[in-house]
Amino acid sequence: MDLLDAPTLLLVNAVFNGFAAAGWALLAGVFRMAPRASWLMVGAHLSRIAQTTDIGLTEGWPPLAVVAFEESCALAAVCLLALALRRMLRLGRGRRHIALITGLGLLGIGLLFALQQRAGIPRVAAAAVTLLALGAARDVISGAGPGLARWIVSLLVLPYLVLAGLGAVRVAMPAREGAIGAGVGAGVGALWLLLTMAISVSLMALLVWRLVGRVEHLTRRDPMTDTLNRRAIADEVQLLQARRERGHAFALVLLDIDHFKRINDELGHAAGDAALLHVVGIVRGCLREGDRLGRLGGEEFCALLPYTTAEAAAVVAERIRAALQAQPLVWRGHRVVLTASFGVAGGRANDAAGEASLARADEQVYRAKGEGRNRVCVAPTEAFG
Amino acid sequence: MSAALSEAFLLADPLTLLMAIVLMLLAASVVWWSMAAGTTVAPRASMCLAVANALLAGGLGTDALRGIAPDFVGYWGSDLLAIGAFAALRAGVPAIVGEPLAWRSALAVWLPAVALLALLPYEGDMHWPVRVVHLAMGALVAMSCIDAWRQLRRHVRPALSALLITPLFAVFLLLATRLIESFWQPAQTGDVRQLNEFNVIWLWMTLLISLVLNATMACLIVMRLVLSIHRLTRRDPLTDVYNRRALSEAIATEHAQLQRGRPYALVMIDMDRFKQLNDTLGHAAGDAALCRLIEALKPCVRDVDRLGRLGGEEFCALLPLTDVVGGLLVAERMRANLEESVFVWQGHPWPLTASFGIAEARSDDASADAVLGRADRAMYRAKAQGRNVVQADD
Repeated sequence: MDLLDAPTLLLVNAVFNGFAAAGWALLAGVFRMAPRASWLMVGAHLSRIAQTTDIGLTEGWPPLAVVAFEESCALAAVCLLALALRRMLRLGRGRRHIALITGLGLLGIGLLFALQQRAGIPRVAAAAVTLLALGAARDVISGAGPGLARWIVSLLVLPYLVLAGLGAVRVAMPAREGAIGAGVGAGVGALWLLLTMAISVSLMALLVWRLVGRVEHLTRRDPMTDTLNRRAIADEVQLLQARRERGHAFALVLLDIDHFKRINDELGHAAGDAALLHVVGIVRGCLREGDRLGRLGGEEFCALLPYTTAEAAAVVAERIRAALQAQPLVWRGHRVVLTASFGVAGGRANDAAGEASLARADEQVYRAKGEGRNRVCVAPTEAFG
Repeated sequence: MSAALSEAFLLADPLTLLMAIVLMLLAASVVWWSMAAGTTVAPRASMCLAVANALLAGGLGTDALRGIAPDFVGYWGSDLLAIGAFAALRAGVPAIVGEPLAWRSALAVWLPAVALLALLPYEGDMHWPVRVVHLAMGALVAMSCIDAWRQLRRHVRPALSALLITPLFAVFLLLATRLIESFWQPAQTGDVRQLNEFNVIWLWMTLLISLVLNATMACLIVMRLVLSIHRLTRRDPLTDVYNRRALSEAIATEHAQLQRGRPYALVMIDMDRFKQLNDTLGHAAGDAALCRLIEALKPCVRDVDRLGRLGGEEFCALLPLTDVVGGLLVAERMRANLEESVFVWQGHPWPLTASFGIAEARSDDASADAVLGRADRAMYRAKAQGRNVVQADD
């Protein structure tokens, strides 16, 4: 590895850290994105610079103090990184573990510094770094969520595992003097550069991915009731229809709140909104985990029940109808009994986009309205299949 | 300390530096590639950037082979890849906002530059190859810069656009400086592996440029996402007018100015017989009719006015600095405009009309809700009078 020059790599590393710190500061300051996580990352990068770069900060210090300072910086950098990662992944618990490990590590370094045990300092720091890195790897796996492809999660985890591996090696053989950066082989230097880049850039990518998730959520949600909007329902129905062609049944429950216009006109729009939220709350309580609820517009909602026949869906619809009738809306002292008319239809094979199922359920809603409202009407099931 | 630091920078080993840059570019390429493949973040733009980073890495890598590999690879091949990287960058910029790739203009620079470089001899003083390379790169960056500026200006304030564009512009200036410099300075591009001040500075510059370009592109993509979130939270997805929340905020802001002598009027608009339209022609027809309604209303509002959807078939226009008479004029124009418009759904013509209610804010209105309520009542009177009518609060 004499092909590469270690001091040069350290410089590049410092330049990259400085640049990344500026980038995170920009994200936090200008875009106001994940500000706390971003400032933590700024701190992590700055402590890496303090650790690896000979910028004259430790000039004239005794060698023991230099080692203690550099190892503390390295530990602090990994600690800040782990904290930023947790914030980025929106993980609530476990911050105390990070603080505990870091605290113990710093305490150990301080103790060994007081005892003049130079050889032990890198070992203690490396042990703490290893634990933090392993924790971070676990956080990535548990926090990435189902939206991220498995190979991306593996790419995200890899740098933390390498970091843990490097730490473990240093615990096992702390033969080298000085901190992780200074005085070690250029190969390790190159590895560190790659690690720093991989971690920082992957965190930025994670942040962008989170933004995308929010955009997708917003494009698929009805803002008032936080249920699926009509476009999203159409997509979901199409998906269910595709499964139907492979033999998995599904059913739709359409419901239209009875005399909704009257509530709006008599009690005002705010009461109308409250009524919608009230209905959504009750309907949600009657649905299972895999079911989806969406708003088709106005006072009309649609529940999508996968792996369900029309008969079973009719039972669900009847349960919702009864629950609605039993729990009236209370609005500023007014007690309003809300009812709805239900149309149930099972998905049929050979229905291109699944629109026909929606139309059949819609017909049943109109039948229910015509038969006096507050009832469930079920579309006849097909004779075959 | 700073002298020692700059000396440390100048004493860097060129080959190591080069390897570090190549490593960094390859890593960036992998990240962009996984963004393109694994998520739906501007996939074409991300792919272009993955290609650009890889090409630049290739260009620098082959540059290091000068003297070892045949000149064909080390000189021409290296320049070809490096210009190609900037061409890929230029092609990807419009894709950030979902426009088609600008590959034509990118090729229009890349092909002549590469052809010209094939004709020029890579020996003696390297003035001409250096000029061609930097002219081509500079032109490509300038194009990206202008494109990005145009896109940004459409959506954000000039100051923020300028801030986001600055890095690209700086890179352009750097390339242009290098081009101009070649006219009065002896050409210095030689063997990058040699330890001399020029080479080392050049490599540090390359490092900085690649970092800056990648970061700027990432910033532009983030900006686009932030903008679309902002838009989604404030706009009605179907008609693209303000949604209820955004309109309520705007009305509340306007109401706060009422005490300072700024009157305003509200026009409540409700499409006539919408339920019937939905039931007869279907929901899709209803959606199309709403869009048609907005098309007819939009020419009647000024830039300062806000048009929003309160829900269903109900819309509201906020007219600042307008009294009830002005509101009547606007509403009457809207009504006439809508009546004249033609709506045909799958061969079925359907007459579109709406009822309008106007109210002017009064100084004794406690909140904007009172004004909204009066406009609403006026609108119901219009409905009662047989629809397709404008009624003012009295």
